[in-house]
Amino acid sequence: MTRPIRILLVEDNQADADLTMETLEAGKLRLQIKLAIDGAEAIDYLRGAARDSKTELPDLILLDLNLPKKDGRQVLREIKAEELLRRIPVVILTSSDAEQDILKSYDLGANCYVTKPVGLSAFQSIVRCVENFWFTVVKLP
Amino acid sequence: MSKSSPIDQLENRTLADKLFRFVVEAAPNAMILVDHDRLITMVNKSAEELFGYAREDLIGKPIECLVPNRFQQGHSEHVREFLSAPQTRAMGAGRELYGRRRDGTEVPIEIGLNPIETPDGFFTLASIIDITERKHADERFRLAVEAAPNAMLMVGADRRITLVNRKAEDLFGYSREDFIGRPIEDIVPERFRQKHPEFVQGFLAKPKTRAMGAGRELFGRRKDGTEMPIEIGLNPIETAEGLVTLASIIDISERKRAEAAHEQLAAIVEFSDDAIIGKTIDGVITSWNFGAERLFGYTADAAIGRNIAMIIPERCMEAELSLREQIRESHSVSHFETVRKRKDGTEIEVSVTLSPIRSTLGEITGASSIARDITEIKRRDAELKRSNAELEQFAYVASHDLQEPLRMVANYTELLAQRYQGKLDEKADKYIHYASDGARRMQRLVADLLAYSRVGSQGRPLVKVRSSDVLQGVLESIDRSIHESGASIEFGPLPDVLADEVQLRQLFQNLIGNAIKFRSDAPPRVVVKAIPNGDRWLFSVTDNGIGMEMQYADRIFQMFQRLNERGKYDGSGIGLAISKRIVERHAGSIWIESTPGAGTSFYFTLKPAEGGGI
Repeated sequence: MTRPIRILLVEDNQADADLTMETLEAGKLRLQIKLAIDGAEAIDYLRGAARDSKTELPDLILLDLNLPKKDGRQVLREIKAEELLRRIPVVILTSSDAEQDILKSYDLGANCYVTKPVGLSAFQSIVRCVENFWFTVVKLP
Repeated sequence: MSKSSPIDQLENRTLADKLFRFVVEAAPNAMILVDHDRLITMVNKSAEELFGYAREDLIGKPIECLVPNRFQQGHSEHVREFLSAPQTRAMGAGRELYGRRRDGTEVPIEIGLNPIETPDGFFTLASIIDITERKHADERFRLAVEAAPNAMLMVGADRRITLVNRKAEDLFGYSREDFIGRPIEDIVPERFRQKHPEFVQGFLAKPKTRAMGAGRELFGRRKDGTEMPIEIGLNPIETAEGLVTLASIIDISERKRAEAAHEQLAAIVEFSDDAIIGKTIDGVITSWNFGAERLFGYTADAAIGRNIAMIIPERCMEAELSLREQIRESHSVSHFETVRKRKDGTEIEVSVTLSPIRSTLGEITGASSIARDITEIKRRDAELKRSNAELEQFAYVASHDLQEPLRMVANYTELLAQRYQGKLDEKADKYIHYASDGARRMQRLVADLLAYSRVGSQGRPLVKVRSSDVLQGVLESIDRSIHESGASIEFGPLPDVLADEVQLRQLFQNLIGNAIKFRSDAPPRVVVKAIPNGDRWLFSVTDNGIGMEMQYADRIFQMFQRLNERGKYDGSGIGLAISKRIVERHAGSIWIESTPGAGTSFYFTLKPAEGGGI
């Protein structure tokens, strides 16, 4: 049996986090989801995993932009600056569709940018799309 | 005979006779002695010279030989009259007299008649003066008066008018004939008449050339009774008839009117709220109104004569010099916004309008400068901008931040519906439906509000845009809706305009979308046109849809206003409000013309692209 796919979900909104996790877990893939509720926790977790051989690094990071303590953009900058972390694909999953956020994210090395759509089914379908694309279409490092 | 000659009193008649002859001969005038039968009995040398006869040729001839033919008939009559009441007097009072020379030519003369009674009978001694020279002088004088640019009147000591020129006729409305002999008071307004003779007396007592009525306003009265303001110059002239006065009169109505207009203008300038300043081309202040006193704190006395540089901050001096250059080149400068310095050193923002001042020769000698204090306007403007920006920011933040919790409400009520539809009772299903429907509607409103606030906050600069390309792009993006509704969209050539392309696209999309949405049973037909209208392009989007009552024409452009009941037509009613906001951001206007059942036309105006022309 292959190992489950590891996802780090960085999301401060518990309701959104639940919805995302529920949708991801409803899929066919075997997933192991770690939730960080702010930017600082996310960075701590990643750095810890990079140092500690017992904890595996995630295969994919779903990152919200507007986060307490450490902003999503800062988290992204730090991930992309670290040797051991920068190859992990980062998907920005946010409610913002402002152009400056989109451009800034790609400048900082985001691997893709997804705006949370309005409406449950649209949201569910987007999350499934992301899951499907990154874990069945794309070859991960 | 009632009259006697002094010769009678001489004792020695022969001596008297000799003396008489001697006096007559030596007289500088022509003298002719005529007897009772009108025969010439004696002439002197001057008479010979005047009439061109030798003495012998005249003695014994009737006096009529010296009278031109045309006067001969009347002459014997006049002689009879004289003889019936002989007295020393001038002949032909009021008539012009002429003598006839031997060669038949005529000479203007003046004749004095003296009856002489002697023992030899009754004689008349005529003393004759050749007045040719005087006539010439008179004629020259008359022509000069006639040619004068002013009205001229000659008035005798008896205050009667003896001479007028053409201008006087024109000015007072009397003909020359009507004028002559009238008392001068006839052309003095009634209220001044009583005092006038006194003034005339005063003048005649000390006759010298001067202006009349120094310090008083003078008026003339026309024949029709109307009056006019006049100026009068008086010239005393000594003549053979005594002292006469030549009055030169100017109608100053025009000047008075111009003065009144000038005074009015001066008052307007003086009391204007704006500072109005006159200055030479080098900036020396020549006039300074109340507005300038108030605005800059210097009195007119303190400012006039100083250089305008005293109210110009050092850093603005360069701009001032370039403005002066423009004035020198006879350009005006309108509403130039700059900063000026008050007497107390504080600075004020002003809008300055400058125009060249020219001398009567057309040369630019200075500039008029109108300065308006715009400190307050600027402050309000900035405040308005800030408050608008804050409002926009508020709308943006409010709608943006509302979205997040709303999404949660919407998503979880929907999740509830997904998971538990049919698993609870009917009422629960209904409540869940209401909750998610409400949340969806609110999401829509918040999204629309966000879109509306973004028209102002997220707008891009206005640049040259091909409106036909934008429309084409819109039609491609709503191709599905056009196809499904069976709509036909027509448009002719459309101009280049000054626009934010994204917003112009949204505008077209809203209006065409509207036309398709509110269609009648017939397939929608939409026509887009643009025609020049003043300095703007006037666009129209016309449909054959359901139309509407014009009483709602304003309401449809307000936010969240809907004319139709919810459910019949989709939408929150933000589209036209956004359209209006877009057009207004482009400094245009938008309105509607519609007839229920016949269709609707939306009109909006846009500025042409620079260099695009109209």
